[in-house]
Amino acid sequence: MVLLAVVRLADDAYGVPISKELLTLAGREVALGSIYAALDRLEQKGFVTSLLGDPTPERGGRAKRYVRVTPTGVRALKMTRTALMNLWSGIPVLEGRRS
Amino acid sequence: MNSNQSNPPRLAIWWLLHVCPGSHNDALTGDLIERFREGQTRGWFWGQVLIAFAVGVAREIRWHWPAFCYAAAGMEMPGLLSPVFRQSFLHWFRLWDSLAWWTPAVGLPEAICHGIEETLQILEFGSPHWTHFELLRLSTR
Repeated sequence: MVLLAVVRLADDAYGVPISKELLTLAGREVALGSIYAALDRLEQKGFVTSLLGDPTPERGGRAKRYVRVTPTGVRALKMTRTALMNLWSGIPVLEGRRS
Repeated sequence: MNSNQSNPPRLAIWWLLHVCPGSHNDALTGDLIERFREGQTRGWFWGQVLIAFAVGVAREIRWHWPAFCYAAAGMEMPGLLSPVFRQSFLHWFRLWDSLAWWTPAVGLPEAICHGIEETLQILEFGSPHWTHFELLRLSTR
C-alpha cells in the first residue's frame, strides 16, 4: 500500500502526503513512524530511493525526505498485482456466483 | 494561537531525535511538526513518537536478532546459574570440612563461596546495564 501511494504521489511523495493518501484511499490512519519503517524496508529491497529536500520553517527547519519508486519497485508492484488477480480469479463466492 | 499550541512538546522531539532508533528521524520530526501545525493535538504528537519508538526498537531487534539474543542471554544466565554455583560450592566445602582436612585453613571455603557469590551478584547487577548498552549501541549504528 505504501509503495502504491508513493507511485500515485509521484514527485510529492514524502511522509505527510503518503499518510493522507493512505487515509483517503484506503481509509486507514497509519502512524508516520510505521510509514518510515515501511519506506526503510522498501529502500533496503531497492524498490524506492530517497533524497532530502530543503528545510522549511513550517517543519521546524527540517527537511522533507522525498521518495521515488525505482524500476525494480514498479516491477514488484506489477508482479504483486498479477499474483493477486490470479488468486482472486476462479473463486465463485467472491465473483457473486454460487458454488 | 499561542506558542504552546503551535509548538509541539519539546521533550517528545528530544526523545524522537536522541532515543528513537532510526536513520531518518530528522525528516520524521519535520513531518510530525507539519501535521501538528495543521491542527493535531499534543497527545497525538506523543502517541506518534511512542509508536515510532516501538516500531524502531522492533526493527532493530529484527535486524540484529543474534546480538539481541546474546545480550538477553547474558542478562539471564548469571541469575540462573547463581543458585547452582552457590549450592554446589557450599556442598563441596562442607564435605571437605567434615573430613577434618581443612583445619589449618578454617573459614577459607566460606570466604571463597562469599567471593564467588559477590562476583555473581556483580554480574547480575551489571548484566542489565550491559544489555541496555548493547541495545543503545545497536540503535546508534
